[in-house]
Amino acid sequence: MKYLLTLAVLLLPLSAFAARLVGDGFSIELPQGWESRQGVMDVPLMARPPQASDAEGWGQDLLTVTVEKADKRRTCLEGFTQRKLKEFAYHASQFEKLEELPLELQGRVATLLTLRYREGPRELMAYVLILDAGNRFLTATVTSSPARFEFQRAKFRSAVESLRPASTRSKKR
Amino acid sequence: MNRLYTPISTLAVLGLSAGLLTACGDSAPISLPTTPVPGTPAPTPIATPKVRFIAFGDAGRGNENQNAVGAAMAQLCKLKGCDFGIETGDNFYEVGVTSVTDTQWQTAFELPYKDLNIPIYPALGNHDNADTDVGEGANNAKGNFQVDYTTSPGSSGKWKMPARYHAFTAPLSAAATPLIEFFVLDSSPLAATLPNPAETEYNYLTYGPTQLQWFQTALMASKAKWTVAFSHHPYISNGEHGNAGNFDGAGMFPVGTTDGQPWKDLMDESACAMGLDFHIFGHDHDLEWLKPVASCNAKTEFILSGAGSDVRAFGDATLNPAYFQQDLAQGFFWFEVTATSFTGEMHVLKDLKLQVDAAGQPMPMFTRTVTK
Repeated sequence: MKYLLTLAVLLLPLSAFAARLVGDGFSIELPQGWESRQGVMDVPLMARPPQASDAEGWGQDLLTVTVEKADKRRTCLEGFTQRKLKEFAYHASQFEKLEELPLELQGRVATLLTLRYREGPRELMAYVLILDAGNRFLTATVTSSPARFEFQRAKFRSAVESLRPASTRSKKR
Repeated sequence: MNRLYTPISTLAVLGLSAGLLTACGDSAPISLPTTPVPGTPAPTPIATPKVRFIAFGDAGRGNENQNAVGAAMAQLCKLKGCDFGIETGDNFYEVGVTSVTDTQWQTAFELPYKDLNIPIYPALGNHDNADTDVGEGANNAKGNFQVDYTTSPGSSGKWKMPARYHAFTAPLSAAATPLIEFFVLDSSPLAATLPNPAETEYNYLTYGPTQLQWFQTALMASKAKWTVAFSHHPYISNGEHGNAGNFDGAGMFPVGTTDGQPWKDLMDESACAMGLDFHIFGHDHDLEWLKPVASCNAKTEFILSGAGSDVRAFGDATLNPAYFQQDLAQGFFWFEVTATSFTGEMHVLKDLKLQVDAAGQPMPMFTRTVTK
């Protein structure tokens, strides 16, 4: 019984996350139960809670992963991060960068941005994790309403920080 | 717009006819007193809630053609009633506006529609976000000026674009039960002809999913009898640009958003998957009412209203089956919607004038009613 209890406690932090999902050029651990689509609107991965069991989460929480090539003679992580900030601001209003954290994930440098902005009729908060994967940059973004974002910060941050490079496939279109 | 909601009994006491209500295009449900006031005429039957609106697009040239369509719409609204208008993008050619005080606000909006005293809800088009005459869509900041004009002190108050994408319900009175919910979509970032699609400055890869999520959620939550999305870019069109996924024949060489595939994906995942009633759009400069297609739930009807100023010939008039279509002539649509019917009239100008009969009544080129 004691052994089982110890095992359960050890597994508890992992239980909030499903198995690692491997996509085209990346892998990531999604929050448990989240459903994903690959390739819609050219986006390598879109994921969110299932509509049937969490309608509010389905309508508010969203994780995307993008994979973008980089000419490393011209672009470093810092430069790419600036481009990403510009890209988010381009489509947004009332744009604020709340935090920028340098990270190292299994030996690869990364930047974690915390953003707040308005897009369309919605106010959004976002974690944007940009990972230097050699000849490309991987970006995991999770967005939600500010209230839901604050409530789920730990889960969202764990998800984006689980982003890792993987082998690439040929381009679909 | 401040609209008049006067109970019919009050009008009767004042000796005014109930006809005044329909003439001003009011759509609010009207309650009658249960006990008639002595000495007053018999109660008029309860009015059926009704919404009337016009749809026009690709208009913003500030030229004779735009002025003529503006005058024709004002004439029609005076005769048949309009609660508001929707504009399907390319509100300012060729490269949008550069501020909320740009002179085009007067020449291509306020003056052409000076006699159209109703709110106008515009969508953004590729030329509204452009730096070059081709309307490449690489300057979203210009579109943001159109959002800002909604609350600008210089505006007449007609312009209603609270955000790049948003929703509103009609009747416009917040107290009324919605008959229609409109979803105003920002298609341009998902269908732009960018000089360098790989340039992350214009990256739609996050904007697309968040707009899709909002649209799906709003569509799912809608309690309106009818759902209507409007945008600049088509899902299908027999005009020069063609169908999304192969805009301008770019489907053979797909790069980024040029062929409109990301925009098609958004529509497939939302409007088509969830059974939207109508999609109204522009981009091509003609008038079309297209039949539902199997690739989009075989139910959604597609209405192209892009003949608000300069016009063009069809690209391939047989590409998609149409109920009716008209090229090479200015025009617009007028709609009347109740809880059970959605009627649209295509008005085509002749010699830049609204076509009317001998009695001065408007003569639509085509009329179609969809019932529920």
